[in-house]
Amino acid sequence: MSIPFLNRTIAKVLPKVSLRTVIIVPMVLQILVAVGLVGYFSWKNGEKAVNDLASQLMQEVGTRSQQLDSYLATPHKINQLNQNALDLGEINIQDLKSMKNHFWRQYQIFNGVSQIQFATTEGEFVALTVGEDGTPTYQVRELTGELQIYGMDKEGKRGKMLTSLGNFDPRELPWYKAALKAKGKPAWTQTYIKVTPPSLVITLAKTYYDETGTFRGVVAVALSLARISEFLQGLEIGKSGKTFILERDSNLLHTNSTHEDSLIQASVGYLKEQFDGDLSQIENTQELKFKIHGQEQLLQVVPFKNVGDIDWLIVVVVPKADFMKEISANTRTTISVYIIALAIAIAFGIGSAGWVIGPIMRLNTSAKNLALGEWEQRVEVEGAVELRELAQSFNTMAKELQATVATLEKTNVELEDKVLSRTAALTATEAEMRSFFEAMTELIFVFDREGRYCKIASTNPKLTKPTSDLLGKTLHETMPIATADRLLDCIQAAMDNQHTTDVEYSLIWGERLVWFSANVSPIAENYAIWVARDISEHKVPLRERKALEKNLRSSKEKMRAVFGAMTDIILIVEVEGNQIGDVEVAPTDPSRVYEAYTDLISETVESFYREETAPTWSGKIRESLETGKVVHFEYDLCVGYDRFWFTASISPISDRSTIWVARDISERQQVEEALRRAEENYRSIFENAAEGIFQSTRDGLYLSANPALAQMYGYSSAQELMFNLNSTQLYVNPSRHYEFLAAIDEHGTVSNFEFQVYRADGEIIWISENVHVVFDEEGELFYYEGTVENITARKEAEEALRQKNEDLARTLSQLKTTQEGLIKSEKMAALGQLIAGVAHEVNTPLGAIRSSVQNIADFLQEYLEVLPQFFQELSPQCNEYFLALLQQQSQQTTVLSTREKRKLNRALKKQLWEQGVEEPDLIASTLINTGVYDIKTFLPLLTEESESEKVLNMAYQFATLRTSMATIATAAERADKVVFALKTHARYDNSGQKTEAKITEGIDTVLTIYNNKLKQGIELVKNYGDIPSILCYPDELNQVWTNLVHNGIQAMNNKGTLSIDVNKYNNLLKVMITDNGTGIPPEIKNKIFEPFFTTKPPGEGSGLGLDIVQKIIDKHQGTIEVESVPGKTTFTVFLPIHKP
Amino acid sequence: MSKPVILCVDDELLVLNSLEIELRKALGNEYFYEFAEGAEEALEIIDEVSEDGNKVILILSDWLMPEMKGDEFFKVVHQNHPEIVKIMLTGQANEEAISDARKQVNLYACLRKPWDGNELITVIKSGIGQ
Repeated sequence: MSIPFLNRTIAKVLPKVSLRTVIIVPMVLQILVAVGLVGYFSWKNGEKAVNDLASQLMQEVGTRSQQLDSYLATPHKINQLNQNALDLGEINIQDLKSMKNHFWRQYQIFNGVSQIQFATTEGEFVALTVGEDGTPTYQVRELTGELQIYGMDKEGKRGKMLTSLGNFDPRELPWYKAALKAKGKPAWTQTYIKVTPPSLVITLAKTYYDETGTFRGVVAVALSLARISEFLQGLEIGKSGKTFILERDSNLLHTNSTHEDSLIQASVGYLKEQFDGDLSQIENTQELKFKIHGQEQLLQVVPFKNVGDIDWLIVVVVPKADFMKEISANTRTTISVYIIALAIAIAFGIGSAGWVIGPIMRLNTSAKNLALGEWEQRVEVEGAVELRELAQSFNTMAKELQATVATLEKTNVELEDKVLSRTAALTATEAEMRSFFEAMTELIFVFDREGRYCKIASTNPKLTKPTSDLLGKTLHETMPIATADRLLDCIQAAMDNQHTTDVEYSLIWGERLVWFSANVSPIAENYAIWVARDISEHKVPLRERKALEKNLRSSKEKMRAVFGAMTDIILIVEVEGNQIGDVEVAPTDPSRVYEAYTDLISETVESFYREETAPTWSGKIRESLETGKVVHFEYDLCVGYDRFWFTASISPISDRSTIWVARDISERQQVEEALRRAEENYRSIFENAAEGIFQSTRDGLYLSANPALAQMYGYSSAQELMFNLNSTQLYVNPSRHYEFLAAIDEHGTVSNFEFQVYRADGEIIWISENVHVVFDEEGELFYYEGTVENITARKEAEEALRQKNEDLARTLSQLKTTQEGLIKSEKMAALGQLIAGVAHEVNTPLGAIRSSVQNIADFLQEYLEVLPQFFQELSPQCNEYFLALLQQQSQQTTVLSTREKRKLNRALKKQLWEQGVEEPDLIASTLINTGVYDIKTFLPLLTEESESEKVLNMAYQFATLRTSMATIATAAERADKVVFALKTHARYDNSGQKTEAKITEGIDTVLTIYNNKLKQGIELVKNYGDIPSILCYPDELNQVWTNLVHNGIQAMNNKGTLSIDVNKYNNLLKVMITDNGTGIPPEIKNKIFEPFFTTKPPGEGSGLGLDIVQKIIDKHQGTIEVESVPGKTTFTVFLPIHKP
Repeated sequence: MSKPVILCVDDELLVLNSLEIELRKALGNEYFYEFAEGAEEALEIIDEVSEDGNKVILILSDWLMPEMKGDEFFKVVHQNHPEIVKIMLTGQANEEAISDARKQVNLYACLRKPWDGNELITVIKSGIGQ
């Protein structure tokens, strides 16, 4: 399978797997593998050892059959000896009684025979018989007569006759017949019952021929089957194994058990079945297996033949369960430990996954909320140190985001405020202007050169005809041609001369003739302002005046009257050379118009002579005189605090005098001034506004634009902008333009329309437009008017914000990935340490067990065979020593340290050397290993007996056997203890129920686990008071003790004294765990209970230990305190004793 | 009488007892066998043995022991007796310590507990040149 494919597969599977699973499964797998391997190897070793043992036992039985062979050889030897004795005449066939002593000596030598006998061809018979009880008797029969049976004493002397038996003929006996049948060769009889004394025997018989070759009799030796039985009984085969001998016809010869034994019966049955009832087929050793009631049995058949009729089968049958029982028990234990370890691993996995994933989920939720704009995010995380840092970074970023957003909002508000205040100022000015206009009674128009109404400043409320519809029309369209011509001339004159002209005209307004007096003032080359006053009311006096004028020429009186009707100031000015001469005031009546007319007239007259004004005024008068034309002239006069504006018309009346008609135009001048100011104000706002302001057609032609807009769009002036730019070219995204048109067509106004535009230099900026439509009088779209704001900075800030947010999300996800990796590696490190510790604690006893099993197996192989011979050859004295040595071993129960052993060894060696024993070194260590520490008893053995080495060695071998067995027992106990401690320690009770427990038991369990660390240089001082059991969560408390003990050991750097004090304290339990390590520096003392606080290098601890301890103690409503000075640190835990 | 000495060091008596039986059986009377429950004791024995005119030729030591660990112990031994064959027998050992020991003290072999008797004897025999 290719690596990429594997990766794809993992990627496909993993997203569906939860983090919890990813943490738990590898942990469980590792526990499975570790425990499984340990269990497998221990089971394998045990099974191998037992199999070896079984096969050796089987082999041993086979060997026993050889022993049986040598046992059966004894009669051969005796017969041969007797034959030789007869040949050599050591015993005389004529003197049967002389054979008694001979037989006695043989009986002394060849222990174990049942009867040594001789019968002549004549029927004479002599025999030495040993009863089943070991009592020897002497039997003799003369040529004729009875068989006489005598007792014998210890020296072999004949005792009193016990009984006699008539009708006895040895030639009728089975052995005699067997000998005859064998014709000179030794022959075994089949088993038969011997009468005197009664017993079941087999006999080896041989015919005896003298030197002449004459058949003289039969020598025979009988063996009791009871002795064979004893021999068989000497074998212990398993717990319930059986050995028995079968004859070929399936008859049981003998067993070491009762005949009724079901195992034997079943075995015989099985053999018959196996060999079709014909056991004579069995030629070689057969190893067979069969079952009784489902129990497997191991069966071995060994054919056994000897001379004559001996053709037996030695059968050994052993239930396999005898050997397998312990192995099965071990296997069951292994499986239970395996299951428990698995359960613990899963429980741990779920627990630890919980505290790792919880904080991540909280962070996740907060990040999502942040994305939704809930800025008030603060995450408190308890978990790995990386998680905590992550949470901190998250909080900092969230805070920064919040601050940025707040700043932006504030800027927005400020901008809006500024616009509002400016708009308010504009509105105020406008209102002011409007009220000005409204307060005025004059009509004010702005005309262009063609006489078109360009602006209508106000409507005179007194006029019935509205004027607003005049805008854009010409004079000719609105009034009779003659009047229009006259007025247009007047306008054009004013423009051409750049001089104010007056005109009076009348119009039919409604049904009324209205008279207007108008001043036309140029305001630009092609524009003039028209101020018309309704003078209809004055028309009647004016008519009067006109009539008077006519009359003036004829009469000075009339003239005067005319003047009196006039409101203008009229002066007749005489000129004398270059000087103004007399100034005559015409008797007009300006008081009707001017309140301060007297002052005004005198002021006017004085001005002719004032230095400041005289040259101008006289100049104007001369001009009129020289040209003969009317000269118009405007001037102002200050009377008191008021300034009055006049326009004067100077007409020559003679070559030396002129008439000066001055009309007050202050009112008009004021209106003009106000207009100018308003215009200026508007202009200023327009010119200085920060926002761009424009008017444009729908097609994008700019009608007006302010400098701000020009600057915004990258033009040096508004003119340049209007000349070069069409607003439709602005759009970066043309579709946005269509959206704009659609919106404004529908609503007539568009607010905050944001889009990107190209500046003149090609740069792209963001703008926001507020535009409304200005309609013409027919309700058609006239032009657009609007403001433009550059929002690029705001957009950039928003973009930066969004970017930052994205970065934050990405960083968060990277951190999560990193964190998952960290958590995994941390778990692996912890698991690795746990397994390494357990491995050492288990491997050590396992090593001892394996070695001991091998030692036992070696012993059995090497010595079991030679044991019988060893005992046979041992002299009685040595036998006693040997037994004493064995006894010594069994009495030695103390376990010696190597130092003690060496000391003993040295002492013994010295003693032995002094006694002249050879190889004192070897003998001394052999003795000590045999359990002999005092050699007084055994000195004779060592110094006198030649067999001492043999005896000592055998005793040593037995001692090794004993030691090996003891080692196995102790080691197994040790391993069991470790497994139990691990099991107890790791068991996780998630039932959530408190149970009653004695906390010192939990502490001891923890100490067992740490045994491997503790024994490396830590002195443990336990001081347990009498304490009651309490209701608690024992497993969680074990975690507390584990953490505190572990921390203590580490604080002492694995060397020092660890004290554990447990006592009752009022209604509390007080547990003090004290180490004499370096102590906790005061600056970190307050932090040690914080999660993720650790002083250990990365990978060795999560820093959660004491945090968990605190939580568990809290759960028990207990408290934990720490006191620390260099050299003494005590953690004190108080737990309440709640009476159930 | 002078014989080469084989020294076994382990903090577990169980292990030492088993080793003694195995060694005596396999190597017989040609060697003296000494046993120590810790590095300190082992160092004492090395001195005592040389006072008696004998020589330690091989040390079989555990790794994880109190006071002094196997590799440190071997370093001490190596300074004065570089000729002694050193074999580690351990149930659990820091791989780094083992590989250091191999380089620095010429560690002859490192066997794992539980050990195989035949293998142990083969290694020891080859170590002492039998």
